Formats: sequence, C-alpha cells, structure tokens
Amino acid sequence: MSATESSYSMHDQLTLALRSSKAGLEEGRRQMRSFLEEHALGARAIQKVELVFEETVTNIIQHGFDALAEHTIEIRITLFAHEIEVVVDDEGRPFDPVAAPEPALPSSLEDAKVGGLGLLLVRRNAKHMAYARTAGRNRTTITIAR
Amino acid sequence: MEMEISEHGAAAAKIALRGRLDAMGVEDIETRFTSTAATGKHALVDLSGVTAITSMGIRLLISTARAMRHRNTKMVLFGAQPFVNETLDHISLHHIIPVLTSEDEALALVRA
Repeated sequence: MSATESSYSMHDQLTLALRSSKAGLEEGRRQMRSFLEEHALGARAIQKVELVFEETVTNIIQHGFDALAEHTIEIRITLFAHEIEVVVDDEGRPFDPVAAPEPALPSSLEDAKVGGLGLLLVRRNAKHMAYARTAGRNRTTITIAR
Repeated sequence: MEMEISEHGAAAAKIALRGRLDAMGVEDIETRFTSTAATGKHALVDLSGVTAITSMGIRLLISTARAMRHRNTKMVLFGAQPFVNETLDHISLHHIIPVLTSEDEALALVRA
C-alpha cells in the first residue's frame, strides 16, 4: 500500500488519505501540487496551499498521536471560483487551531521560540479557518484565496 | 534539497540552498548546514534557489543562528524569492536574523 491514496471524486476536488509519516506528507504534497497545476492555479495560490497543507499535516504528525503507529489523515481540497478549501480530518488528540493562542513573534535570537510558527503561518495564509471535534475526530477547514 | 558551500575569504562562507526548505529539505541538509555554520566563519545563506520554506526550515535557521551567536559569528540571509520572503516576513524573522536583498549587502554586514 502506498503512503498516500488519492481519488478525484469531482472535477474540482481531490481527496487524499495520507499515512501520518514524512513519506505520506511528501507524497500527498506532490499529488496535491499536480492537482493544483492541472487546474491552472497561479503559482502564488499553489505556494499558499502547499504551505498550509504542510504545516497542518506536520503538526498532526508531530503532536496528534501518542504512539508511533501510523494513522490516516484525510484531506479534501475543493476548488471554488474565488477560493480553495482545504479540509483536514484526523483521529488525533483534540486540537483547535482557531482557539489556540497566537504565538509570540521572536524579539531576539536568545528568546526566539520555535514552537507555534507553523500555526502562525497557516493563519497568515488563510482567509478563514474553522474547527470541529466530532465523534473523536478533528476537522479543520481552511479557506485560501485563489 | 541541495546545498553548496563556497569560501568568501577567511572570515565567511557562502551556503547556497536549492529546493524546498521544508521537513524533507531540512532532513537532507541539517547535518552539513549546522557543521558548516560551526566552523567559526560567518555564514552568508543564499536563499535565491529556495522555492519554499516552512516552519521546519525556519527552525533550522533560528537554532543555527543562535548557536553561531554563541561563537561570535553571524548568519545573514539574502536573495529570497518573493513568497519565501513573505513567509519570513510573516514571523518577523528580520528582527533576529538579517534578511537582505543581495550578496553584496550580506557581505558588507558581516565585514562591518
């Protein structure tokens, strides 16, 4: 079984089932990029989606699970006329990226905290974010301008 | 991710990065990058070939720059492409590591 399974359920929608590993993340990113390029999205929109995707999935892989066993992270990307919707579903521990406090920006090298930078980058690139915890699963919905 | 090192006189080394400085990219270069930055020379990091940077890449830059400061050497970044520059700007990285446009500016700063 590959690290990522994908399907085109609609002309403008991609669904991915990623293994919670670096290999799964990288394979998913490549498939997502191909999908976005096939739909002629601009370079800047693709860069934004890739960054949001990578930061969100990395956070789940690093902090979402207790055990080393691999889990599946489901991603659905839908292209709308003026925005791109990224929905991330996982069975990891509850984490609400909308309610999480804003990490402090570094003011000096000595004081710079490296945690929380990923969430900050997701917020800066998102037009809108929503979170729900349902039946033991996290669902994070991130909207990005095209 | 690819990494190329060249000397810039006795006091500085140029580290040119090419590709994505993300989780996989960091894995590719981390050992060479940190060991080059530990040689006692200033590091001019050429980002012109970096097509994307994520928090994992930014962490590597911050932790290496911090270790260099303890050795009284500097890290200077230059040449970032627009979206990479925008990403660095989102976290105000320039407040703690110089982010410059050109190699000449970077060299002038470490020689100052």
